Amino acid sequence: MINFIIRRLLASIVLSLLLVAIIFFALRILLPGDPTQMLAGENAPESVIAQIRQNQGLDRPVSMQFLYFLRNLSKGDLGISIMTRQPVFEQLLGAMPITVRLTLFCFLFSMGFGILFGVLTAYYHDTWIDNLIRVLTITGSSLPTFWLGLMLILVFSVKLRLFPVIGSIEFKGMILPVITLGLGFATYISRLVRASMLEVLNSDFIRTARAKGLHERGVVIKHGLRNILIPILTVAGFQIGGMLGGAVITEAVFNMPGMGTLMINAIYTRDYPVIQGATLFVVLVYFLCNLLVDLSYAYVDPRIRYS
Amino acid sequence: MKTINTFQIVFCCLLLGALLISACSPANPTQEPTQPQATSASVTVATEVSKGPQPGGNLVIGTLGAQLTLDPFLSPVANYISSVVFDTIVVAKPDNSGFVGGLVEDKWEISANNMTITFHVKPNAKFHDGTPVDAAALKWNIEHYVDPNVASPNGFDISFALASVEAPDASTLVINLNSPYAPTFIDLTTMGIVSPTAYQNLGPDAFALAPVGSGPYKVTKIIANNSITYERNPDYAWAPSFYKNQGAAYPETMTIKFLTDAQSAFAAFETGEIHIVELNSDTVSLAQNNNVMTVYQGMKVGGNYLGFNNQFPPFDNVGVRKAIGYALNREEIITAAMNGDAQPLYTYLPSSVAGYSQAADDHGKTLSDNLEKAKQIFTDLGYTTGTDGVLVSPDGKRMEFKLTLFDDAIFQRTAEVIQFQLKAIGIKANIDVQDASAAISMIKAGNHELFVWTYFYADASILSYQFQTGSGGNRTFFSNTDLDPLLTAADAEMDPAARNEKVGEILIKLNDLRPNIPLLSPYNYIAYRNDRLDGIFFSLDSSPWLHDVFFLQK
Repeated sequence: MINFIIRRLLASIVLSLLLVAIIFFALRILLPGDPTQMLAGENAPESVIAQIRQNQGLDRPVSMQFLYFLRNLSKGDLGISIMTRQPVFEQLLGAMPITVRLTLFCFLFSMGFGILFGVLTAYYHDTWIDNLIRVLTITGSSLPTFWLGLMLILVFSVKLRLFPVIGSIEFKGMILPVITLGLGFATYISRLVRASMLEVLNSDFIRTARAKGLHERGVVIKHGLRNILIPILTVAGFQIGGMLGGAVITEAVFNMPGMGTLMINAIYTRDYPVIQGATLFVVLVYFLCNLLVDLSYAYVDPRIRYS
Repeated sequence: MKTINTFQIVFCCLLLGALLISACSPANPTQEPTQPQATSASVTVATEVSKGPQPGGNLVIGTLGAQLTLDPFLSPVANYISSVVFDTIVVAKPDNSGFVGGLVEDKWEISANNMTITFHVKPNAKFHDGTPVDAAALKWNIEHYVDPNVASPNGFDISFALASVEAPDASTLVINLNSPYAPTFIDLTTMGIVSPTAYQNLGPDAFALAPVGSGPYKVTKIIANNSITYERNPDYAWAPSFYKNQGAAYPETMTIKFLTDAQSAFAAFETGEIHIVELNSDTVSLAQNNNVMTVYQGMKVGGNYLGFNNQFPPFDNVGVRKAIGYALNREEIITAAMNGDAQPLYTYLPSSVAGYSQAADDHGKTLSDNLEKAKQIFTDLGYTTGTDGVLVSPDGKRMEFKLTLFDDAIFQRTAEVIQFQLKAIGIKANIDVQDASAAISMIKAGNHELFVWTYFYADASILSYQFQTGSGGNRTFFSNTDLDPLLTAADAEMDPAARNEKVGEILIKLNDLRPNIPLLSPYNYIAYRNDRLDGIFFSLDSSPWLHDVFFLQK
């Protein structure tokens, strides 16, 4: 197990981070735009822009900037934001709790509701319960995130005054963003669980379990649900990447100071150190989550061994 | 099967259904007369009894946009976000009719040759770290702004005119110019004054996180791209003279929130989470229909225009430029692209900038919105219409151009209307949307043909910046040897009335030369909660002046 983790960390995560950093710097060469122009203002003469570029170290060849970046990264230094002059690492640390908590709650919400409704629709398949939930899940998955967020704000914040409009790290400030981000994922998980459960519930071993007189709840949860967990966990691992991406829109709608907002502003202002720091962070989280998912296979299915 | 409670299943489904249905309801609370919170707020207004300004409260302002560094030497923007921390040497009056002292007294002396300005520093002003605001501190600041190694966006303009700065004693500041330069005062309004001691001790990067000025508020917390929290400076007693409040600010604390979505920003304003908010065209009517919200309509100190690359044919021909000017209908552009949220602009300065001339605007109007005249000019110039309806120049070139702009929804809609209007006279414009910084780079390099662009600056010197031969801001690459000395003379005129007269003449000349086609000056909207606040007023461009603001007492 330990060997597996070390191998994965080295092979996947370190190499992937390096690859992402190389791609990022390559794109910087290809993409038009100049952060110093944004920082200097449109009216600034070329001499001022050139001096700012020099002060920011952006006058060096991109290859040199990349080597400097790697050197600093090895020391845990992601540089300083061109626009705000704050250390990127501090900015990431400030933004991370919001996004991590949003993603975590969203994951729990989508898995909880997704599995619950998926099991129900499979168990009561072709009944009015199945039809109702299926209509609701299709509707839920069709709603654009930004529209859903605005509607929830209008109803629950502006009209009913139950939740704040501006999202925050506090529980109350998380509820609407979590629903906004999680609803689509919950419906997807629900449909996946339904399809897998329908197949499993018609299996011979389920029939055997029932024939042995097992309690129906035990049949469904212990034998049925456990057998579909691996595909669900695999999808859930990938979903985390989608959630991190979706958090960008959700954080924007709820004006939350998370990674999404940080990245949007950084991209808009061409704040390269922040963009590359945030990108590497998201990649790191994504790979770590998938590693966790891979490790959880062994727990879910004892037959799986890592060597 | 009996082990699963059917009631619970139905309840869960109904709960989710109710959630979705309520989320889908077309709620528009601001226009809903029976909306309980709005009604409640209205009643609050009616029963509000102001006991006059009282200290206390947390003033929350929502602004749409990204946070920039709070180091005033490096930030390209000088606005209320920084001015509550950093005073300036002089301050523009809210009605743009001149300047008053910020950290200096309202009276200053200008030498007979207009090349020396002597300011008298206000007594007792102190920075947040307790060091005195004296002439030496102001001198250090100005010299730091114009230091080429600092490359300050707020210092480069005055650096061309500045000869030296002197501080003969603690209360006297002398600015010596190379030649008379009227924009000196507007330049000084953008230069936030920092504590030299703090800046030198901390260094630029640390200073940006813990800025030390002399303004009415001190920064207590910065959450990158989210908010800045301030606490009031209890010692503040040197506010500009147009404020009633000459002491410390009334609100105990202030928070500026950087918001990314205008709709949810307005919703937060509606619920009272924010007291002052910038509006866009989608939310302005909602605020106007709500009686606890007061909306202020300001005008950008600049305008949007259709530019040409004057270096190359056919735009090096004034006749072609004039014909295009006749072809454009500004009212149509404003209605279709901006939902009416702009003032048509027929000359090269908007009415929000000193030097604007009604005569020049009227003159410019006679050169606009006349399709027949535009067609006639092209016919007189020898242009013919091709089989596809596109004009062909006498040397056989089709009038088909790239119309460059940056990725902004309003600019895109503007370009689409212009494209349609140009088609009516046989010019084919192909819209080319670029990222903002890429578009700037491209236009500065002269790799453009037609372009939709914007400018803003609260002083008539923007004309020199835009149209003087060889100026770094000359995006149209325009050059006219008759115009250049007029621009220089206007910038050198220190008497405001005489300067306005000269600027008026320049505007008429520009109308005839048509280096670009001025289109419109957008309105800016800002709103505040009148059931919570009083004492606020605004500049012509809708920037809020906050030092008289206080919370209403019940």
